[in-house]
Amino acid sequence: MLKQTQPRLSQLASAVAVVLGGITLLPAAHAAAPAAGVSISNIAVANYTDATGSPQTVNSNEVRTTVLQVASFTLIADRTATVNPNGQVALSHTLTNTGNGGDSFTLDLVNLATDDIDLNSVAIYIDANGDGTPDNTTNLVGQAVTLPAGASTNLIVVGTAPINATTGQIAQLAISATTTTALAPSQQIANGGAGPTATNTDTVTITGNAVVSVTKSANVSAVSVGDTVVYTLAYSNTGNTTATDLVIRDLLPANVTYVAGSARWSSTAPTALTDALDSPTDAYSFDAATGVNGEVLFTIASLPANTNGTLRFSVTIDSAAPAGQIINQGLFSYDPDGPGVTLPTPEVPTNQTPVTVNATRLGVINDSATVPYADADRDPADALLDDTQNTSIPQGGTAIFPVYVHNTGNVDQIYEVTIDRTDLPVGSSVQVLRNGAPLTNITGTTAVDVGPVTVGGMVELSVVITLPSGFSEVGADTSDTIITISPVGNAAAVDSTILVIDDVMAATVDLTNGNVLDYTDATIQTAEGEGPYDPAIIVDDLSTTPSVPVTFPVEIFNGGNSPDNFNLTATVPPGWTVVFQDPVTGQVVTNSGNIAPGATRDLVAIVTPPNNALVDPTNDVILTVTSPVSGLGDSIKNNVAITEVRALNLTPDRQGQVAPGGTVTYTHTLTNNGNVAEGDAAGELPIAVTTAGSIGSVVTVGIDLNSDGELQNNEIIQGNDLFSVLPAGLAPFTSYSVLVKVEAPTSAQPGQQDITTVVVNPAGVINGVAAPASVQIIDTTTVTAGQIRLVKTQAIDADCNGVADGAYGQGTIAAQPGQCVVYRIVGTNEGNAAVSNVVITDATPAFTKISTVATNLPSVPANISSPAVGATGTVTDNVGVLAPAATTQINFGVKIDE
Amino acid sequence: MNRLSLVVGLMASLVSGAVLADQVRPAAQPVKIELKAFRIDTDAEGKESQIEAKQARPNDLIEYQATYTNTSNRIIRGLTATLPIPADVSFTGVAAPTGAEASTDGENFAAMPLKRQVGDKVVDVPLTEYRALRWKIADVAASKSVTVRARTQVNGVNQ
Repeated sequence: MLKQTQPRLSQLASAVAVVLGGITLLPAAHAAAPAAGVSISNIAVANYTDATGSPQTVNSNEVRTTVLQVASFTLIADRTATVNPNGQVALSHTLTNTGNGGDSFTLDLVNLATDDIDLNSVAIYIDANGDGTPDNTTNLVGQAVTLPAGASTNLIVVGTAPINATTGQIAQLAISATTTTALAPSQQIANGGAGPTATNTDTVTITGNAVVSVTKSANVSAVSVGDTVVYTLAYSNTGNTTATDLVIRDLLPANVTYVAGSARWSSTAPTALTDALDSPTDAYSFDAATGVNGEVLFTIASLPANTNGTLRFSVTIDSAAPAGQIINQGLFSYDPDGPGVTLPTPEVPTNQTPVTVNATRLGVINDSATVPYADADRDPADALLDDTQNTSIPQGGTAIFPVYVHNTGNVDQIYEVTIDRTDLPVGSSVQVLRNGAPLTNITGTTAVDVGPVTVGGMVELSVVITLPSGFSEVGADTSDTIITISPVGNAAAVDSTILVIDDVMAATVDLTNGNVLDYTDATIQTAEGEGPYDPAIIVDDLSTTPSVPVTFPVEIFNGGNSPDNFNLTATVPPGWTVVFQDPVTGQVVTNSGNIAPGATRDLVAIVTPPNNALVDPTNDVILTVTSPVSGLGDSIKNNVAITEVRALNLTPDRQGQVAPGGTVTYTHTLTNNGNVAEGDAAGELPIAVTTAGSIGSVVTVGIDLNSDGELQNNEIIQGNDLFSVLPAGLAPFTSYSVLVKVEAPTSAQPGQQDITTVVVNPAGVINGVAAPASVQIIDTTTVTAGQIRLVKTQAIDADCNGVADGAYGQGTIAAQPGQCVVYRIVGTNEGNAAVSNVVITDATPAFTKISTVATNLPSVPANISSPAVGATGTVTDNVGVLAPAATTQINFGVKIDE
Repeated sequence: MNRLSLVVGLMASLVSGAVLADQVRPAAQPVKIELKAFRIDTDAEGKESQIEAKQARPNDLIEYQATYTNTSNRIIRGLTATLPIPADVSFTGVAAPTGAEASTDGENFAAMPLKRQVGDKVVDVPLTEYRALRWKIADVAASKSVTVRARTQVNGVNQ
């Protein structure tokens, strides 16, 4: 074995040197024909690079071709023999089925017409055990013999010479075998040529001298490797005279080893023979140097008529002997008429003696390309024999293990491959590849197969183990895969190898503000957000005011082994909004898109506080990326400080008429648009009311605390300080109605006018922010004789049916988008003279549209104009003349925009 | 007899792992491969015919045809088409298009004919030892196909 292996190794080493990474050599394919009925399977493969730059592999469909039978056989050989008149001759032939399926052969035997004489009582007998003598007396002429693929049998042709035959006459016989498998002639290969029939011609010569026959037999017909076989060469002289110089040779076939000193000669009792060439001690020798496995040589100087004897010797079957037949035959020659008369006969063969070596179906799978050790030979302490391979992979990576299937049996073998993956996490996949293509199922069982592997050969497989992309594990626990093979036909002979994934290093994703030079250290936590999320680290800190967005840079680094993408989310205080944008295109994104391993992607996060954000130096903005593929994620915490804003608003200017002795009340809205309370201390919101004009009216200013549109005593501002009514001040983003009541003296004359100016002039610095600018309104009051007073009231109409849900009032009501509000405007002539050219107008408020078209009462449709339903604009009623104490009314409804 | 030291083979298989690593990645595959096997029969006049090789006999010629189709609407770059030579058949040396590389182990490819050193001579590796062919097709335009072919012969009976 070693002798055979070494040259091969050096040959391999040379080959590698020449092709330099191009090719490694596997054992030459065993080019035996596939058996009829097996499938030839193939799968094509493509590798390419996808749009993200990732390498991809795709397999084709599997194609299968079923192998059909070819009839191929041999019948050997042409034989020659001598026989005395009336003597019987036996001629041995061997029929071998060399096709790829079982076959049946019809035998025939004919005396040829071209010779001198015909033999009598010709017949073919079977000699299945190859001992040179017929097994039974069944004449097989015209009969069929069935042989499995690769099998052979001996056939013995016998015949008797006519009693009147004379010396030198020749008889010829033709034995033939014809395949019975119905195939085209091109698929029938007899003795190497096309056609169904193989023929041997036997030539028998009549002699009056010695006729020596030698037959060979074995003591067993079937053996296992290591067994001993005793071969017997039986010789006899059935002729009429003494034969001399009977020389018997036996060239030992491959796969056997001669047993030294095993030769015995026996004519009556066994006599031990020496292997040395040492005549005259004995005429027997064994020469190990001749032929494949040595040669036995035995000479019998004289063999009288009607005597016989045997020569026996033993061989052992080599451990590497392949399953199948070991065929051996002897050779012999003799001088039929003593020295000096005629030459000795030409050397002729004995019958063939087949010994069948039983199939030993074995195999091992391990981690060694060179050593076919089995599980029983495992040695955990020996790296060569531990039968275990370990590796660690990055998360999302793939472990590839080479494993080797060695055929330690003596027959080409297919192996079932089973995979124990129970230790792998759910979602793992295991593929076994040969020559880069997945194993297929050759045998039709549930398991995939590898093979055939030639005797003593090895096949390398690649086991590709892919764990779930989200799986990572570092520590004592491992992910084990056990690959087991069993030879087809010997399912009990299992052998395994162990593939261990020790650690699956977690892939990482790092979210930072982009100011990171080097992402190589995944554990370091820096102020840029590098490393695992640390809620104690504020990465970026920006200030803004309510509803003014701020922009944070973010950078995502894919520290994994495969492309990944990440969903973008943020955690912010209620009312805040965050959108992520591509900084180049401005496109709003919610996912990073695929990021190649080791690559980064830069985005910006635009954070907008609500318009009512209060002053607060600390507002955590936590930005998070999460992979829907690997489950990986990271966050950074930024801060947004809301700074102080101060602003007041007071609107609108109003105009009104007043009758002598009458009053008019103007409603205004004072709003704190800042994010700090104003006027929560005395003197911070001083209010100045000045009235100039000819009326001499009395002006009272107050805050409509109860929202009834009228001033009560507790609502009247004292000491020109809003603090007198609103001791808590104006909370941020709140509004109050400021009522200005103008009372004309009874002595007032029509046409007189007063202008009332109300100024709120905030004072005081809050947190370093100066007071906002003062705000004011101007109300203009005119005395009229015919004083038209307009009172506008409103009511909710939640279902928008144009009918008020409750009473109309002047107070504030709350309505939701989609609901309606109905308005009623009542104009009254409170004067003592008729008023002409009265035109009353109103308009749809902002964010509303007409839901009920305006009507007037008394109803004069010609006077009223209104926007259509769904439109906006002005409502106008051309009332014309309004008599003293008379009223006119307008009704319409609006819907609040949704 | 066939026990070999495959240290070099092992290293090479690890190098090629990057390709294998993505084999099981679940993704919509923009490349579709259709593999067909045809039996090539030659009549008395030397004219060839081909039928789908559902069945074949020893010594029959089987031509494998693999059609690679880009089913996406984008160009596929760097496509490598690998066609294994199955067990029980031998490559005949006939392959199209030209420029195919061959391998005896399915992993390490080189231009044909493959060479090895025996003693002090460099000889061709027998075609019976070829176990895979590979074509580097480079780019396949959207909705286009590329077909590769290789002829094999079913191993024959001992005669």
